[in-house]
Amino acid sequence: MTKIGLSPETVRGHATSIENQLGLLDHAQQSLQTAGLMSANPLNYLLSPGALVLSPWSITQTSMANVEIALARASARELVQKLLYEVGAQEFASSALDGSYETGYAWRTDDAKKIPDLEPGDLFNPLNFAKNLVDNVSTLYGLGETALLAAKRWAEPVFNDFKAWWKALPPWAGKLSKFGKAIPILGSAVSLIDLGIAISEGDVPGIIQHGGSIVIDIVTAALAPTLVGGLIGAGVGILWDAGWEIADDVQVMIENPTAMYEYYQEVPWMAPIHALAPITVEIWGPLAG
Amino acid sequence: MPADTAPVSDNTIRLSQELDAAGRPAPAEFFYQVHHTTANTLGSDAMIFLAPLNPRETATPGVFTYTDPQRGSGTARLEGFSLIDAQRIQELVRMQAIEAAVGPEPLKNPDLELGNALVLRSNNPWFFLVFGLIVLGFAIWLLSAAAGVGDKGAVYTTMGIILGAGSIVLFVIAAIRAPWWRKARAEARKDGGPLPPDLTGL
Repeated sequence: MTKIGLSPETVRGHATSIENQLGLLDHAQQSLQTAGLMSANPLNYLLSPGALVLSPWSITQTSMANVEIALARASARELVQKLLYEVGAQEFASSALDGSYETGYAWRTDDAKKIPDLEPGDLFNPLNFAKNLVDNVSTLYGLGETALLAAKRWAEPVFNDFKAWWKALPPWAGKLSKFGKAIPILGSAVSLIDLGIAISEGDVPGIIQHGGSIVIDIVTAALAPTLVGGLIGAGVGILWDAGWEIADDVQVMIENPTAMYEYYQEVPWMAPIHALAPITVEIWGPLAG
Repeated sequence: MPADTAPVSDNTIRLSQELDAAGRPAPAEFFYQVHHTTANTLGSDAMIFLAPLNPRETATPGVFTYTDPQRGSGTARLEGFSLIDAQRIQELVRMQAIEAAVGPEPLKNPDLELGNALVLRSNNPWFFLVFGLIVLGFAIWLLSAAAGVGDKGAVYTTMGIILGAGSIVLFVIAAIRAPWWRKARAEARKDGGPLPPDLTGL
């Protein structure tokens, strides 16, 4: 992939060179410090009392110089770190695709350090696109229905207002509500695809996660005629998915603790969206994918 | 559930009685307002009142004839229902007639108002058959791969067995539903017109 602007490799080379020079400065500062200490406390260094390493009037100046070198060295290191952070930001910007950048995805390698060459499949993978679309639509639809169920239970006037508005819509709205029935079926199809990927990759947690989802779906379908059994099955399915999702998020945060900070530095306009609807962090945010 | 004699506005069924229970002419009008009392659609709630009346479709949507040995006979008209609810009642009245001809639907799914996206369910037995075959395929894949993955073999075997059992559950559901599904569709075709949504698709 073509990178515009500074060359991260070159800057990293310069940073390493500066770090080496600072290492030499470390040695010089250490020698200066030792000389100062020897002059101030000769007995501690097995020197005869009265023996001088530095003239008395130089000792204070040496200590001052020592502090100044230490401060200068710390500042230089901080500057190098800032420079390296800018390199990271440049890599992030140059590696994000237009579409993915808008939605908050950044195209990076798994270790988040290297930028691989761009392949046609990286631009658009129909299987992943379809899978993510189904996954996200099902999630949003399911959340919408859950919110309505909660409203029906605890805020009936709001629920009734919504229902009156909904039922005043043209006939296509009725078809849309019937579409909801297809969502769990599409969800099972997604779980089957994920299970296939997990088996082919030998991914044991993936096999347990997606195999478990399918088993819960089957039990839910078998209990659906009893109504209560179906709803319990659906609840278990939600907890199962949420548990794995949370575990994934925790893993991301452990492996890359600065991921959130870096994300919002690059895509600040997503912050209010995430604040208003936290679930979108999972869908179009730093924890997506 | 008794019907009222005074007209009401929303979600009302107007019963225009022509004959009384003894079969004598006895013109009268009754009104029954449908309330949402279950987790099902308002259409299903309306059927709690309508079903004992043995309603039958007429050429006019939203108007049914009824024959109740205890109440009499006449016409039932839907008034003040939204289009979505009225359509659902129409479908359910047709399904009741089909069930009267071919027998009650086995493992009948609830007609949920909400929660459709949460509960996996289907009326179509062929869906369960195909789903079961795919799950069985994954079970066989896992079991056949278990030997070649070393320490992971136990997970592969366990999940393979669980999915295999799941596929059997799906086959049983398909086997229970399939005969009724075939008969119900054949009965629906006799009436002409499109099949009711409960007998099509997923």
